[in-house]
Amino acid sequence: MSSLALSLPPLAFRRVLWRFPEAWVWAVSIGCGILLLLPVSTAAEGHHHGHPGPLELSRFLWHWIPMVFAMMVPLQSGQLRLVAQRSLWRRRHLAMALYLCGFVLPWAACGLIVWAGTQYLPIPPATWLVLAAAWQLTPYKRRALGACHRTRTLSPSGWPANRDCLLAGLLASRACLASCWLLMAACGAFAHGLLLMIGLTIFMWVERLADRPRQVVYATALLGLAGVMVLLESGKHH
Amino acid sequence: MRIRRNVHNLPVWDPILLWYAKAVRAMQGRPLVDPLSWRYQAAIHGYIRASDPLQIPGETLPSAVQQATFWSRCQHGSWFFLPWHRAYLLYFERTVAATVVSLGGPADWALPYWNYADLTNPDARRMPAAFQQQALPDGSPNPLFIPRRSGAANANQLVGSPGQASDASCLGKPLFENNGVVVQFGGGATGFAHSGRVPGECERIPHNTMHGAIGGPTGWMSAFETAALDPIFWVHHSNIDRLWELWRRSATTHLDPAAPAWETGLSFDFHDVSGNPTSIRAVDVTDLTAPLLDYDYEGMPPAAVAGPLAAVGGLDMSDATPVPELVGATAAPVTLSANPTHVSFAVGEPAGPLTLALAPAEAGAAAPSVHLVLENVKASRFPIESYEVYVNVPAGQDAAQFPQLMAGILPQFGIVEASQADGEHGGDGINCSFDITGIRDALRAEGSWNAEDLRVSFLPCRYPGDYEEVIEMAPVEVGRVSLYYA
Repeated sequence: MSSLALSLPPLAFRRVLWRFPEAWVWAVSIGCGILLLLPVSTAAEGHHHGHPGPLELSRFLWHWIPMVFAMMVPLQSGQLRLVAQRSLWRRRHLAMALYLCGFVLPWAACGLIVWAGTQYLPIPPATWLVLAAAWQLTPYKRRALGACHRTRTLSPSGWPANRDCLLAGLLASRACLASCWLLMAACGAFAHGLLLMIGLTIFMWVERLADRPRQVVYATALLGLAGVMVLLESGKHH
Repeated sequence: MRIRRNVHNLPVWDPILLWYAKAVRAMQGRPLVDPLSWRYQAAIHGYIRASDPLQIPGETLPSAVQQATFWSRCQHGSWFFLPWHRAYLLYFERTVAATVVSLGGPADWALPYWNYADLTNPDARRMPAAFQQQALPDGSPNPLFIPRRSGAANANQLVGSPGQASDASCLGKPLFENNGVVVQFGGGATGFAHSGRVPGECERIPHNTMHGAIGGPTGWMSAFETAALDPIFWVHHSNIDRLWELWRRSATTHLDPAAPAWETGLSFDFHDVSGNPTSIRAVDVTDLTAPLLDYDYEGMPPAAVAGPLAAVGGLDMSDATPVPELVGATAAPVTLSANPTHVSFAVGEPAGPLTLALAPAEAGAAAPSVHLVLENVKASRFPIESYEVYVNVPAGQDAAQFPQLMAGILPQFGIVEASQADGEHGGDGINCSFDITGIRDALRAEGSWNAEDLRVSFLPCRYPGDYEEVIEMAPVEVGRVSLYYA
């Protein structure tokens, strides 16, 4: 059966998936990015002290989860490809899906905490960025960033394989949270402001792919961004 | 043009070696904070303060930013392994040469190389004599001599095994860039990578294996952060650099990657001969005749390559490059010890595009190649043993009696640093891949290849020396043993 199917000229997308099994994850992430562009429950609602105010939990998560997929999941593409490569062929996409579950669940929990923060302890986005700048200068940040690249062995089949994929995602999420949670909190506190999300996405890619540690430069960039946000907010007041 | 000479063709105290020794001594006299000092140059490869064997309490260190920019920058398990180390050698050689001139030596000093794989020289694997002598001809201490080496290295014995020193496997690789688990000459595509993934064949053998063979369990050459403190490091790497050039010249199809990510994607920071910061990219070090490099190796054949870079870049979607597929693996980590270790696991048939090659209609197509992969190999201390890896040795038999079934040698250079979760090197351990297609074909021809069950044996081979008095056995854990078709 399979040999007959495979003897037919493979479709282009199938050939892409052979070599880049994580391609569908990219498609999901791009879809989530487009979703965030749609003009539904945007930051325009409920301004509070000059910046977007708190959102209902459901609306908050409606943005938070796509934001995680659009901003954080693509950073895992190398890990996802490795998870697929280290899995039996018939399990490749299941393995990636389980890894994604393990990766997204802690981020969803983080979203709940950030939402609670916006409700009961409203911290301006610029303050989150200042905290993120300070976090950049600690050895914990650098260690967490290094841990984002870590790989783990997977059992080849059965429930141990499912468990290992889920666990790999959870552990990757832990490192990713330690590295980037303040940046994502800033986005959440800004009710997912689009320009801030784009700016921080670029920032996280640069930081992740950098060939040398530039903690001071990164911290300065985040302080600059915080300053821009303060200026914009004060401009709105006037 | 500087010519790097074969060290085994030189008299013990040829001027090249004598001036090297004098320059090393001068550089050792400079403070650690000086970029042109011996220890600073070694720290560019790796530095961990707690394990610095030459640390002086209270000494001044470079600033944290300077350390982060210039120290612990070595590239391993990566397609940047060769260009980074070429650049590293280049600036080091120029620094030594300038020091030689300042001491009154010749202006054309160049690093020699140690060709331990020279089949025409039965002594090729002996440590060059100048690195074993405890004194220079004038009676002063010899800075080229380092006590912290394997038992064989300083006892004028052959260092390592023929397999550990061999360059035949890497020079026979047709391509530069690994394809997933399929190992080629130069390594797989990565970003900045201290440990990376599966190394290229030249990095695995002879680079990694000879690091371990020279350093042994307790020697400086066995760890990233101390290796470059041993003057033989640079002579060893001169040979690795020579092998890259030899591979390039040996066939018109032996080409460096043309991908922009490799050529210009990263730039690496060093200090020039004046100690000023400078940076360099892979594309800057591919042509030995370029003014920046301007050196060659003694005994090197003329180039067979007309153009330096003609490989196809971009995404390789051609059917000629197979997609590797996992067909079996161990379900739990395997702990290696001082005794032979055996592990078996079930192996299935490919289910992806490789079935095309197995289909009856494609009988004329080449059968998929077979690759044994060791993933996430970790150790907390450098092992007393190196391990030879065998495939399908009959149960109860001594693996050493079946050399035709040896898949390869598990190299351990950098294994400790790569295993430290909080260190610079990631905590993944090391990975390696052996092409066992030849073993599969031979066993299949004699009807003894079992395609459904694979038995892998790890045979410990103790490094020469009485290490029981020095350290306890350090177990090695192999995260997973897996089999891939490609």
